[in-house]
Amino acid sequence: MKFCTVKQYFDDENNNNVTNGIATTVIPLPNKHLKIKANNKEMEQYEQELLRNVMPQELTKLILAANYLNFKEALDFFCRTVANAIQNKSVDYVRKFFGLESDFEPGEEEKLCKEFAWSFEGVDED
Amino acid sequence: MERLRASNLAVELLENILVRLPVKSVIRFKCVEKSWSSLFENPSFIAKHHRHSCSITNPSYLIMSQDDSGGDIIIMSLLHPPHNDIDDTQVHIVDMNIRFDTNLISMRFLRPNICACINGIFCIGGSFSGGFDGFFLWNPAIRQYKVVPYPTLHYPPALHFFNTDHNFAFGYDYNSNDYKLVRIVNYGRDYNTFVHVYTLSTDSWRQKINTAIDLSNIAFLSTFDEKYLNGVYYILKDTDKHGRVFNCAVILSFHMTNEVFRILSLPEFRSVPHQIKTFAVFNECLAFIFYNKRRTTMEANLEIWVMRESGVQESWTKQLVVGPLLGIRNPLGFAKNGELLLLVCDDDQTIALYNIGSQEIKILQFRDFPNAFNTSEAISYVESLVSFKGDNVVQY
Repeated sequence: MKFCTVKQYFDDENNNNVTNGIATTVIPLPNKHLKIKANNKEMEQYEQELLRNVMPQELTKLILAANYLNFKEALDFFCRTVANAIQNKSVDYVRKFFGLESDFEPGEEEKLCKEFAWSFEGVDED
Repeated sequence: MERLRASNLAVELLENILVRLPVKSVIRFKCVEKSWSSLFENPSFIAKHHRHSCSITNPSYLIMSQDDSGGDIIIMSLLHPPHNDIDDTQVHIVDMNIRFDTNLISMRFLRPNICACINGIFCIGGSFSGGFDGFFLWNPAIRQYKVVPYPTLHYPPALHFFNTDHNFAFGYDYNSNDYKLVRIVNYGRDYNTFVHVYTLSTDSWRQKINTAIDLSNIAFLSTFDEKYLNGVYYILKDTDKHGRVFNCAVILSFHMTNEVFRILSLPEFRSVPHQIKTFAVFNECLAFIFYNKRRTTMEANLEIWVMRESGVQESWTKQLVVGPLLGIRNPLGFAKNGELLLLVCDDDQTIALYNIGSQEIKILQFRDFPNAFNTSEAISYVESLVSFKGDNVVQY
């Protein structure tokens, strides 16, 4: 199932969704998964390593690649990695991470922050 | 860190990431930008988020109790995640003394008529001091609650002298992804039963009369136990033939989507003196615990039956037998998909975790616990984003 799409990719020369670099990361993933499935600690370490070695733009591409290849486990893995990376970060960090800007009216954002002040406690320093 | 272009990620891929965030993070990230704020309030996203949370976390188990002097509700959380092992059990007092400081509820809770928790939201209702009759919905994970008064019943004058019995049901409608509180009113055997349904999404009440089945044999004043499971509310009732109560209990079920009653029979069991019957949930199925304690030896024996197919009374199957156990007062329900059975001990201050497989018992002690447990069930709880709209909503 997974390999059908891969073959299709290689046959499709004008494919912009996946580059060779991505293919080398995404495709070996199932083997890696099988080896370290039992051990959560190792999985976390692998996740950390991935985050360090892979630039965020690459992460988007990895997610797009996994999605295109219909490779659910890899997609879950990358989305989970991103979620874990951002979950304790500040609003500004997340904006920068996704390349977003605040589109709230001047007073609106402040009002929201005040309303949910408790959710800002214990957040990582930027 | 350099930028990850959100515009390159389709909305569904972004959702795939955001749906994995804990509730606290989601609430904070409402401030990121407007589209995120509206996404996080979208009921469909909220439902997806909760389904995901339930699939990756073990729930904690809550015991709700009203303290001895009446008034305050105490909620305690057992088996608080992350826990892999029975040795990781922790007890959290989630909230001693819920006091709501609004001019709407700053009062004592006198008589409860509903005390439930579904999909991370609590529904607690009854009579409060100061003459307020109603309920409140509370989501502690997002620190929000909403107060809803019960509508007055317009008794037809001729029925003024009847004892009306109100049953309440709180549940989730899978079809419309909505929450409903139902007040079931029965005026007596010669009259119809009708229901008042409150729907969260419209923040309104409506009334309907039951015409589907004959409920005249149900002794509405009796309610032995209640349980919500997977879109259906079950009430254990006695039947009343010719004005006499015949110790023949049935299950009255109310379907949250089509709002229809059904009557289901209990499993065939050998009736034993001093036997207590109580609902439970075993592996996502409705279950029954028959519990009795021998007066002579004080040994407790439990027989657990499971309705293998939902709504099919012929599918009642005797699942297992537990006991004899000593020092047990009553069962609270199952945890970890039927692996553990929670029980209240005789002293009313300790909870036992009985491992069905290994038959080992672990005792949980509580510090600073009020006088006694007034509880007959442990409810599973996973945080959710479900929020409330309309009047009387408080964000604290």
